[in-house]
Amino acid sequence: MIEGKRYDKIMSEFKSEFPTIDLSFYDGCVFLDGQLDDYEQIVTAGYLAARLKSEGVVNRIKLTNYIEPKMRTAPIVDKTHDGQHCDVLIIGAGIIGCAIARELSKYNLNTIVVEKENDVALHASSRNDGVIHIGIDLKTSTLKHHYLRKSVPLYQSMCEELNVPYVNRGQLVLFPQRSLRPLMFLFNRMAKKRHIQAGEVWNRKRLLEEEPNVGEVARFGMFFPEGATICPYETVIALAEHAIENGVRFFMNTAVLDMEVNGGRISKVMTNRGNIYPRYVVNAAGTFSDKIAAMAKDQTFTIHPRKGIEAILDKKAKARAASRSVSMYRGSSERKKDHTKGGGIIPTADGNVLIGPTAFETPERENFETDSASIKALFAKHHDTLPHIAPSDVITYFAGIRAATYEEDFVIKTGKWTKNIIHAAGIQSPGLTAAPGIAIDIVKFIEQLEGVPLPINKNYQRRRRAGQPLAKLDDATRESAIKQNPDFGHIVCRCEEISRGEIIDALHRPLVVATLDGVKRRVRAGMGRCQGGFCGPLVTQIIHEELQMPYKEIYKKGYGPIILKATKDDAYEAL
Amino acid sequence: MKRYDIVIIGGGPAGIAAAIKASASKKAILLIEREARLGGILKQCIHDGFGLSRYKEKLSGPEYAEREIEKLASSNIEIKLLTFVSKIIKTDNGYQLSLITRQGIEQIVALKLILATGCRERTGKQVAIHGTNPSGMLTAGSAQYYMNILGQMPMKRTVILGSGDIGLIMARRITLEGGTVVGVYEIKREPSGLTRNLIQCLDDFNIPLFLSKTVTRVFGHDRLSGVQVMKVDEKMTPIQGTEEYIECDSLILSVGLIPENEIAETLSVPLNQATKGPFVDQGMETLIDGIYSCGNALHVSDVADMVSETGELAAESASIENHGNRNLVQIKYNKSISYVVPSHIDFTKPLDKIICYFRSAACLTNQILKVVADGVLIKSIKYKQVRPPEMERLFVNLSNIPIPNTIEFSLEEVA
Repeated sequence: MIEGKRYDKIMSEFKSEFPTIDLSFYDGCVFLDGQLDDYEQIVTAGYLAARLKSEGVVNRIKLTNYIEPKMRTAPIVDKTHDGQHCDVLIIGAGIIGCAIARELSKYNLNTIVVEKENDVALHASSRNDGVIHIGIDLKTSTLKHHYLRKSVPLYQSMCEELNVPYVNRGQLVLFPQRSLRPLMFLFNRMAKKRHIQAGEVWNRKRLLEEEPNVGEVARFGMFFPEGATICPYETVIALAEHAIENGVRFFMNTAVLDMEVNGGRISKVMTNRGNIYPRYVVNAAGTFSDKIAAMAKDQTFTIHPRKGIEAILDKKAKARAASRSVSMYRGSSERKKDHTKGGGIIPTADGNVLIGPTAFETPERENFETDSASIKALFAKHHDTLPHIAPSDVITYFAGIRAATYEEDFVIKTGKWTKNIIHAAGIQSPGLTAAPGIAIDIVKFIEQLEGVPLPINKNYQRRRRAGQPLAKLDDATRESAIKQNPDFGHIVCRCEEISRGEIIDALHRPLVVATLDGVKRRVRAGMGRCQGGFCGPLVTQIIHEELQMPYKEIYKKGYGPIILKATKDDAYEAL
Repeated sequence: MKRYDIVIIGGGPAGIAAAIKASASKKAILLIEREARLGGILKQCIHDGFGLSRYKEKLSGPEYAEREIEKLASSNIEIKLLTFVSKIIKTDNGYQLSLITRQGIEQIVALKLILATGCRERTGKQVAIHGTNPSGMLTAGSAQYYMNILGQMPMKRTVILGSGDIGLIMARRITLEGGTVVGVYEIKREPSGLTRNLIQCLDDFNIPLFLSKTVTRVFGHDRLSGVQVMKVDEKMTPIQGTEEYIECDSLILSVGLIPENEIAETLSVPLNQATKGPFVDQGMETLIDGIYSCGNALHVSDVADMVSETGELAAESASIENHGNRNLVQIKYNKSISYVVPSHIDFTKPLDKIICYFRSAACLTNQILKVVADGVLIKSIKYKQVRPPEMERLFVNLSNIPIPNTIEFSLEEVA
């Protein structure tokens, strides 16, 4: 906490800006209570309070006439998991929850992951650009920086063990003014301080040799060789599957609704599928992590959701884009304004081009609606970077919501007032990058709370059992796969060249999500330019036949049925 | 490696017609189809109206396909089903194709290629529909597959966006199956489908058509619960303040077809921005010698009969041995025409009965089409009315003229 004059100045500023808001202190944290008519003002109040540098800002200011939407949960209420006891209960199956689960699977513990959605990585963990950041813009005092540096060296080997792509092509920053060139040594000084491999200055000629499509305005570029990309959902699914293979249990469609806290310990966690009795609870609940902290009577931070929208372009646009992530240097004032790393144009690990993201504050934690103004703004913003890509290249777009705190940093710590909770919260960019490092520390925290070394899981398998996408195999390997299973030679998704065999395999993996999107996220059927126009019905048919599921019970995602009725009763079965 | 004179990619109406025609040449022909059965999209088009010019009969899609397949059966050409063309590379004297089949990977060599790869549907995201991303937003073709092949209804109460033929046909089909079509919305001022479909599919079933209106947003998380429609101005931009909410459980999209030319692109075949298909001469040969294009991959046709016809034209010219260099003259056209197929005339190919197709750029009345070569009028036809959704077809004879520098099509009001 800051003291003296600076403290007085912020307090008086707060009182004059927000006279109706009650600012109080408790045990090192700041609490804001009251009501305001404008959501932006509530966010501004939170940021101002954060400048006091307390342990955390708990912003409880209400928005006038706003009823917060209820957390969306599966329409299931049953007792399936009632009475389950476990050593560790992880709440949330995003990349953080799944990375922790996998790390814990190295130990002989009874670990359960609860996830309110029907698949892993349905919120921020899949709704991002898949970039493994180098973090040159991060303050070295932040946890963001700490965990990014800890994680980057682990990433490639983690992806190898998981058998998922890790594509290291580096990261290129373009500069519109030649006058900035003498300042590049400052960038490399920043890089050195952060243990980042030094950047290389590319003049316009070199720039055009390397990336002929960059815009006219780019006078020179700075190339950092480290940056990489992964497929975010594929990686999280792999983390979850690897954890399951090593003994962790995942309870899907299971939402934490409340907790019982006695004597500074969580004794019971109530869900829509029964009560669970954990010894330790890990809070990896993303945009709901402050709500979980509040249930645990341990809220020292607040999530103010920040939405971003990104567009995915046809693989054909690659020829007009760049071979590595590219962005235009925007200066710090512009960056501060939009709270992103500035965004850019990124060749994804799957061979598409991604453009984004935008950033704006919203009180809604899981409203993933997109809007046309954001897409227009994206293309306008990045037009100078790569002028030859166009809105007509877009095959799809999506929104993600960052779990930002007012401190704009991760919350990685054991409970303050409740002793058996560990928070891995407030995770936003570079959360995807920081996940492996965070997971290691969360396990360490559990060990510290236990007071004795955690028992090793002697059966831990270091590598995930997983097949390669057939289209990526060399002909001889692919041929022998087809010889063993002819379904591997029957292409169902023509855009992405995905076979019937791979789709059937996706329905028998450690974590089965038998929806169209579940299949799509596992094997990419429907991810291409026709967006499932051709293969959607075929995949539905395969799910129906393979799992003997009635058509009416097959969903696109969540609980959204595809079929509402049969044209004739059992028309298909009669054929 | 097995060698073929002609390999036809795609077993829909264009590919089948090409195969039948090519079989007469006694060359080594292969027809490749990625699905288990021939017929392409005809298999799911159980409505009638096919074959009116080719068979002088009103056939359903599957019936039309069956007639074609029967003709093919007697031709004895080789057909590979459940076969996916994964890669094609140019070799010294032809093309090497990598085929993925249930038996493995097979490499074959083709001297000439006929691309009959059809088209795909434009998706909701490609026409900037925003909001949530729920179940219940489907292209008309997907909805048609669910209903006509799988016997399953993906809707009960639906809004259809786009008045193209598939949208109109699905409006009727959904109504016949007991569903409700709240309305068909069309962003343009004029309907996009054939007149006969507007009458038979909408008017006869009292389904309302709303022009200059489009869907801008969808609602509902897991399943679609409603859509927002808005009026649009002359530039087809939604007008603020005209938002209207319509409760429905599905949105069926009939917002355009895109010729599938990904294979053509990998072979560097130049594409025509007006048709989204390759530039071709009257023998459907693209600007790359030995590669032919036909059917909806060439340009989106109104009826299957014309698709079959371009398949035949491609096969006919592919069956002839090439002698020397082609002599190509590009066809020019005025602003009242949106495109002409063929885009070029090859003066080394037969010139007496050139089949030409064109679409007008707007709905126009009392028009005269003139075909002029180097200032000399070759042909003129009067039209009471021309509409962009209705393709016009004509024969042109260029055999009795010296090779011109320019050939021009113009559509003008009758003086």
